[in-house]
Amino acid sequence: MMNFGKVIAFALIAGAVAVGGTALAQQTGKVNVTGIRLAASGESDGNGPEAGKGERFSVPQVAQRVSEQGYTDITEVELEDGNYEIKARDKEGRWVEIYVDGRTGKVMHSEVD
Amino acid sequence: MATADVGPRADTAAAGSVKVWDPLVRVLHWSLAGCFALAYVTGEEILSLHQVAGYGIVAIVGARALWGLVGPRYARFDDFVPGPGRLIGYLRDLLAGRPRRYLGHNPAGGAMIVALLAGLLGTGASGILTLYGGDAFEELHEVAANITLTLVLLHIAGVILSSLLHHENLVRAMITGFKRV
Ligand code: HEM
Repeated sequence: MMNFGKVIAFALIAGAVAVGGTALAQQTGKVNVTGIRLAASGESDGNGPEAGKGERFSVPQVAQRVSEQGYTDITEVELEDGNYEIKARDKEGRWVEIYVDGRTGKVMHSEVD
Repeated sequence: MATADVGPRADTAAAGSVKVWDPLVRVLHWSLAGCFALAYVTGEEILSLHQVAGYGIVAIVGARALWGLVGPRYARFDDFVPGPGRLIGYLRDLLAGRPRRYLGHNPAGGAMIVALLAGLLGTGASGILTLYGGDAFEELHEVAANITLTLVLLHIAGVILSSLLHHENLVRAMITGFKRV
């Protein structure tokens, strides 16, 4: 019994550090990656906020961004925690859910519905 | 003198009372309860607040586990995390209606504490995953949160049951730190 408590305590500490660390990495990683990408490819083309300013794309801006990338029939644009979740059809005509970074306008991830 | 650190409530440390829960255990407990409630109600609506509450929970779980290694006697995990044998023995006595009274956490309470802390950590971890996007992670996070909520309700039921069985107010003890000897 003596060691049981310690094992659990250590496991919980390790878990908390892992979760906290992942959160930190995710947050700081996002900021850096975005900054570098925008600066390198000069994507600030007037169709979104200025690079490095950290402003968020507006709904019309993000909708235009996505339609420029070949998505059609945008039926839903939802701001969630600074990023957009958009429902639209992809080039093959399938309904998809697209996750767009609110600051860069980049598609981070998309799923067929 | 020995109880000077609890301020005005030291008066209530009448003869026959002992201090069981140190200040850190109590502060962490009620902060945890507050953060959990906040995270639960802001989940669907106010995401920034929800995230702050979530990080708070993970930090509190980590701090409590650390205190469980180095804190005073009743705060230590070794004092209350039961092995399977002790837990089953206690549950059997509970069903028979004659559980032993513990000054610290009883074995069922100790097991519930581990379940709660693990559930909170799992919910936090699945919450981080939602930052990577995807409905699947969001659903996982919701399921984890609801499992943890169920544990919390069982926890509160256990506290009430144990209070009734031993004619004592465990909630007040978690506020003042004192229990009848
Ligand atoms: C109204 C709500 C709540 C009440 C009245 C309450 C009451 C209590 C009481 C009386 C104890 C001490 C049990 C004993 O005497 O052995 C306790 C311990 C504990 N409770 Fe709660 N609780 C509440 C909510 C929560 C919530 C929401 C969580 C977690 C999300 C939680 C997690 C814990 C933990 C981890 C412990 C162990 C304390 C320690 O040793 O650090 N409780 N609670």
